[in-house]
Amino acid sequence: MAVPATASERWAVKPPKGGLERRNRYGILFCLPFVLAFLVFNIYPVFRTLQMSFMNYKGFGKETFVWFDNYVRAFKDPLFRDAFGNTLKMWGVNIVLQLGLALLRPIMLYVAVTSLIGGLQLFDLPYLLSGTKGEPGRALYTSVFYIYTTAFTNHQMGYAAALAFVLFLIIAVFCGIAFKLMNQKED
Amino acid sequence: MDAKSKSIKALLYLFLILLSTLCFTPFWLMIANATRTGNEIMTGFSLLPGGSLSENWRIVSENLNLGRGFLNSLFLAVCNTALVSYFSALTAYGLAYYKFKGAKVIFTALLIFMMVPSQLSMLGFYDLVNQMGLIDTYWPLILPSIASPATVFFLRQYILSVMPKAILEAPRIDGASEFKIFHKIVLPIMAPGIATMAIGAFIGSWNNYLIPMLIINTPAKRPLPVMVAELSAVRDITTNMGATYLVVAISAVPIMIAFCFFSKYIISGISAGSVKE
Repeated sequence: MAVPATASERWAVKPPKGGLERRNRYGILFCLPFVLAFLVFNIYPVFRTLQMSFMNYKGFGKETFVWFDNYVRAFKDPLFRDAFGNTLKMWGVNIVLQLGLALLRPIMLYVAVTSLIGGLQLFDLPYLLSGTKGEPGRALYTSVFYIYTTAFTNHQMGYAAALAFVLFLIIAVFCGIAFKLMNQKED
Repeated sequence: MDAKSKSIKALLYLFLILLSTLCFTPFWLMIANATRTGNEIMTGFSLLPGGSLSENWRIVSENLNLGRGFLNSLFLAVCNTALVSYFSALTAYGLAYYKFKGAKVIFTALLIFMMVPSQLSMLGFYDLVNQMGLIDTYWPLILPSIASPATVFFLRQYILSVMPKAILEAPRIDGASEFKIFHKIVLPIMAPGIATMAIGAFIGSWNNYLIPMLIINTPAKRPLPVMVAELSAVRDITTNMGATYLVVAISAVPIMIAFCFFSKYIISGISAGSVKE
């Protein structure tokens, strides 16, 4: 005689065939609004930015494909280099203040990286402080600030998109280095 | 308590008092500057309030429709908070407790996009809104909050840690629909986690500056932070400086009130994810 091994097995309610799967379809339904909004407002814009970075595009009108021209220009651009330098300076000030409080080594690294990323994305504070022009003497001109003016004041949408991707690559490299260092410390 | 631990405690208190003074000073400066003229602010630094509060208020009320800006900000913040809370909870529950094709893909995409900085999507987002003809409407400021990857991620971890799957068996045997189970059972269980995220969403929306500035052109539709920026740019900075401080001080009031009531949740939101299980 086949006796069920445990009490729970004996009393377990067997779902009707296919019932469980039908129920799992609700999971798709529950995720659907999120997925739609995610595709439209998160994923599409990033790919659109990537596409624009290979275009000569004013933000309106016609788009012409220019290969890597925008990227070449970004690396030669003294203003972008300045803006990036300013970002690093602001980050430097920030980090000296924060590191004093985080005396543990792994945390120090973590704080350094997160504050750098925050600094690279710094925009509204300098934008407001300087009366929207990066003054005095462009010292408050950060990278995102430069992207913003390039796109919306100078109407060079494609070039601004390329700048955004260059900035992202720089952040990614910093992150990669930080992760490597952190893993080494833990070994 | 011996003398040594007492002195350590005294030192700690001293350090904490120092820290809180450091944090509170800019706040106080903002309030003090709201009562001084632009010239006084530009030329000197003082912790004592001045006597130009009414003059600053006059400049503010002449240039801005503050009540309108307040209502605009409030409307956006309430809509965003509601959408973030409801849809993130729904998605988190769907991802955590149902098995379906694509769940893993959704979760991975969500994790990746949590790490993508916002300026990568900013230009594409503006272009999308432009092509859709939604510039100068509230839709592009509200609809994206249906998809908040970080909130979904947090709530998924949260519900997995507070709700065993067995809870769902009883209502299912009793024949409740899956939607009813979500609304009557899952949502109340998730409430503390949702509250934490909701406060973050409210503050984030209230302080949001860049996207509304890009998208809203009509002055009457602008939320408070964009209005503030406009004030400092209209005329020369010197005359409007005090007035700007006044608006900033006023716009910080709701956040302070929110903090008084929900500080417990705000703090748990900051430390969210810091505990390994």
